[in-house]
Amino acid sequence: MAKILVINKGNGSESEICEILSSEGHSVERCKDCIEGAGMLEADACDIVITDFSTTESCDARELSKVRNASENAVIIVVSMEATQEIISESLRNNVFDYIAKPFNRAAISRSVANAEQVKKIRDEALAYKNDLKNVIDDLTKQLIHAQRLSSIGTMLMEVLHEIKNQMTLISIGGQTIEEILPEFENFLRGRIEATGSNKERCKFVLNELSNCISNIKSGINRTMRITNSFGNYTFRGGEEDIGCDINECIMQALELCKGRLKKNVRVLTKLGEELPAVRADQQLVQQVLVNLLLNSADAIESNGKGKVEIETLCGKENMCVELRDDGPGIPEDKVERIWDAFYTTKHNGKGNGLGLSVSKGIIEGLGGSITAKNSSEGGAIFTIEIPAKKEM
Amino acid sequence: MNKHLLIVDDEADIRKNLCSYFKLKGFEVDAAENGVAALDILAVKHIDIIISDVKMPGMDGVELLREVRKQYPMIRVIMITGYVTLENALSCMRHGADTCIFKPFQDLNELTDAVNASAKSLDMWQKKLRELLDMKRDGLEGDNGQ
Repeated sequence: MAKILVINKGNGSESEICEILSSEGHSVERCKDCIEGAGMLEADACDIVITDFSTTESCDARELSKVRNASENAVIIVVSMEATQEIISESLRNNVFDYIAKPFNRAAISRSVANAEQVKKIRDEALAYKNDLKNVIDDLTKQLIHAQRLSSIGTMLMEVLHEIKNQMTLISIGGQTIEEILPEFENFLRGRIEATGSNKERCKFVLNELSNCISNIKSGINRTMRITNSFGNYTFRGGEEDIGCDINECIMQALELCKGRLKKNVRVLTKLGEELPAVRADQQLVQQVLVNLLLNSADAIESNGKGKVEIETLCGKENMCVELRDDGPGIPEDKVERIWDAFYTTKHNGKGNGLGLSVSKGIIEGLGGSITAKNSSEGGAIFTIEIPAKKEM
Repeated sequence: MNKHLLIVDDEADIRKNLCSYFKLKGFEVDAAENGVAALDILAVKHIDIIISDVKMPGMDGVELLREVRKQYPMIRVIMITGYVTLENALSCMRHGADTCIFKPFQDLNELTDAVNASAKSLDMWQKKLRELLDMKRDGLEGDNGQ
């Protein structure tokens, strides 16, 4: 039943309307003019407002608009003895739903209020949808801005990687040049020791340390290059040359990329099939999917404290299969289907942009494969990727 | 005789360091910052082997490679690149580079080995051409011998 405010100066019709509506079970309030009515509406909204409207009495056009402004969502019904053009046009201007001419009968009031209730219900639903939609659009806009920011970081990263590589080249050439002249330096030092009787032990130590430093420089360069190459391959848009992709190599590179994220609390176990055939896929794309899955598992495990990720590769008759299992909290059963939706995320604090799995699904299906998710009976999530094996030429 | 190298790279420090390294290895070395500067040097100096970066402003390494193949077929070219992609490597191979070595040269011996291999192949050609030249001088070559 509706909550109704009746505004009337207080002649007989007001009481009559209130009686009719109360007898129909509506919650009815009353007041004597539009000013008071507007005040009441501001304090407490109503579903329906039934107001007297007259060009000569206190509730005129200006006051009607106050009622309208006080409660934008209420459905207004005007009751009037006048049916002038001014009354009608003012009613329309104030978005009045119905006009009841005095003298009225009970049926006219009941019918009008019943219709107004329907309209109010539809308006409320529309308003709720509008608010939901606005929230969705706000969320999507935020996520798009975030995704765009990430994308521009990706573009910058290529330049940064190139610059790092240049500096690494310098360190690398420098280190190896020192290595090259080390024997010469050693001979020189030995000559000096013999000529001057310097401390032999000290000289041996210096030469040893030099070799160690060079070997540290080399291993530092190797490690840095493994990281930058993994990022380089990851951010590279992919070429036209179809050379097939080594799935195990992809997994190792993806693990290298996620090493920093995984090492804190995740134990990684790999069971990679031997001599697997290449798959018909772009290496960067497959790597992107694996990185997404690994980071998701790392996030899931983090909520449990620590845990493990197992990756297994198998070769079927026509497909290559990668299974990634974690022992995190798993996927809520009612969300298993939704996780593939774009911008859907269960991560908090802006951690996820809700694009990872949706993009991953797009990539794998684009390669003619499939990606599925389920919960393990022992707890945790299992993601399975199948990609067609590359046919021998 | 020591081979004469031309190092072409737009990164001044890399250019300088590679020059020092190969001087240390006993090569004669010149350097240029891009393809155009390299062609200017080639016009006035005898160069045996070019080590050229692929991506450079002005004339890049692949354009230089094409130009060298046209104008100086005897010069060997080794490409070096930080942009490690299949496309880059294939492009170098298709245009006749001896090999393509990736920066940051985790093992500089790879580049040294490539230079030595190019030098050896050059020596072979020069030896064969000299033999032919001698034969021609002695009236023993091809048509003259009939």
